[in-house]
Amino acid sequence: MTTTGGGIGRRHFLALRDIHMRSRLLGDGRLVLPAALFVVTTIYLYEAFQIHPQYDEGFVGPRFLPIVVSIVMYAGLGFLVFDILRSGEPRPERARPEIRNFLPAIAVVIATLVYIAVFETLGYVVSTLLYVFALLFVFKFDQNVVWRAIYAIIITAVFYILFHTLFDVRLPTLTEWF
Amino acid sequence: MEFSLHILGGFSALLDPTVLFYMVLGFLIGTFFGAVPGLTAVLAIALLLPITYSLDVVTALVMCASIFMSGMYAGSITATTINIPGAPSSMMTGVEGFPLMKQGFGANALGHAALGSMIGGSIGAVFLILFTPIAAKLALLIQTPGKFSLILFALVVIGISQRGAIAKSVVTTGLGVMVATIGIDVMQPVARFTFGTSALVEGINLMAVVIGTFAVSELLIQARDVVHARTVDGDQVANFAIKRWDFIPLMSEIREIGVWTYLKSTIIGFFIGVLPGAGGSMAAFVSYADAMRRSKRPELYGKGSREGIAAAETANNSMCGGAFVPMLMFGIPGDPTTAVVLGVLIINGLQPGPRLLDNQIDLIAPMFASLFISALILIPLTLFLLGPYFVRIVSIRKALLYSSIAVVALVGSYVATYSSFQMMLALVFGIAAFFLRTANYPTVTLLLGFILGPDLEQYLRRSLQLNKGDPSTFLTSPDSLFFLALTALFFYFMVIRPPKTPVTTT
Repeated sequence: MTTTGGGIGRRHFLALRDIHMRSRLLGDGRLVLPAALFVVTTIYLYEAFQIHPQYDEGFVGPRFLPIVVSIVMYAGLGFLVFDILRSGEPRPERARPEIRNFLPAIAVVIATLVYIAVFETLGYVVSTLLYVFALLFVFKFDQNVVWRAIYAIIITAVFYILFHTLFDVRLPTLTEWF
Repeated sequence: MEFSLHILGGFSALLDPTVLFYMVLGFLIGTFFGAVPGLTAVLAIALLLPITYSLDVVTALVMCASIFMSGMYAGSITATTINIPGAPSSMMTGVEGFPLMKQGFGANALGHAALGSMIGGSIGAVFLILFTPIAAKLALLIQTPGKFSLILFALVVIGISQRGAIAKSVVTTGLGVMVATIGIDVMQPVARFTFGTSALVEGINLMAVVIGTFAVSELLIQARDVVHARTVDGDQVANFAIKRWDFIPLMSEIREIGVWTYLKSTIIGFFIGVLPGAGGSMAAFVSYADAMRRSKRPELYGKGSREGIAAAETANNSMCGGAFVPMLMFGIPGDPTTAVVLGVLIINGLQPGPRLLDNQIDLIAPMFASLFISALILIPLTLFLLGPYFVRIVSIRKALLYSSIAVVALVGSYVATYSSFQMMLALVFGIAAFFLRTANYPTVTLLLGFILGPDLEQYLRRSLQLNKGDPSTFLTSPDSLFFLALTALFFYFMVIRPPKTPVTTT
């Protein structure tokens, strides 16, 4: 078999293009979620092998379904990755997720984390008031700070009445610490 | 006879002022959530879930049924008036309703949507009452291997019904089953996947999964996409001015649509509802496609066909009744909303299955009655009373709406165990569902995998234990063989030789 210099060049070009394409696919974020799920599944499978049954159930036992589910997950993820790679072309520029688009969602997550952290310590009223005030800011409430504060008080009060008075739910209070 | 008396008793339970109040309140909440783009009846019931701890079980179920029915109908309001379906099941209604709106027949289109929903919803509820005892008798015949094969059938159908996203739905279903395996094993006193954390030994609470998947993830998606201050633009509100009497469809139009279209759409919707995971979108689309294929005036489709609206809306509301049958008798939800209603049942200590009709029919019958009354009376009444103000009502400041949803969701998840750990879990599931939804993974399958996973495992292991580890029991047991054959049949017709018409995902 003979190979011309041009043939090697073309193959080299195709291989480079292939690598470039795959790196672009990785870069546009479509493989990130399957990769994360792959890691989660692998940790799950590893933990499945650490399960020690109290008694022998034969072929099946406490680790049987987790192992089967892990295999199904790997198969599903394999199909997904194959589909992404087969589609060839990366996503159009405008369809790619940009970090700045996620900033409001990240702000909501941070506000919620803080809310959960202080909910039992500060009590329902203070923590909810601050949380709602923060969310009104994130959701671009088109009013000034005074109106934001007024609406935050109204929302906090409405749901206090709903949970505490109507549904008899015991909500944490700041005063219970004193 | 005794069953009929219990059903009549269910209707009389609605006369209790408290129950009646919650049914109407549920209907109005469902109408609002169904009509506002981005909100759904599933979200409404998910937010209601923690409150059911404080409510009487009959009241909670009556409220769920009215939310379900109104949420399914209300999607047609914004679909017709501003061409943004409030719910995915109203997509076909928008295709026909919005052209009618532009021609000046918006009120007429809404009237036809309400009439179809009323007929489909009420007959669907009657079918539910008629079919539940039959399904209960069938459920008694199913033995342990059959139960495993039935759940396997449900999981496979749920996965493959997400056309165009089968691999993604397999992954999310698997993820749901994985989450369900956290905690004490279903057969042995062994803790699994707790990572040394005592908080995980009891497993993951359904509430955290439901609120995280449906409420918190929606909150994050809305935060990411926040562009307009209101759910519906002010200009669109200004353009919507109609009179009440215009809502009433003309007899000539109803005759042209024909009784058979209503009846057939009801039957299609009901039986699609019985299928696990299919949901209102599929019911509306299949019925719409069938009506178009057999229509005397197919040229009107896409340009404002009243027949198309009637077929889609009749089917999606009839689906509500059908979806309750497998949920109540087999514990297999027919659609996302009934999956959350199943959560309400479980929280209140009701175990789905044939025994439910023998022992707790008095708790279930008012829910059937609520489904029927919501469709027959509340849908037309709400349209007549609130119709002219619908668009104004659903045009609300997003900041106020989503701040309120955030408080209800998080405080609601706290209520489950009075611990902020549940709030944290809801946030974790919300973030996970947000990324899944952003990448177009169906999250409903995650919830169904979470709900059905433990039963699947339990019946599998019990079957094998009872048969000394011999897996051939699944083929020698007639009921099991039936469901395995059904699984193969569905797989063949939905994956290997799929129907030519495109089907939207729920």
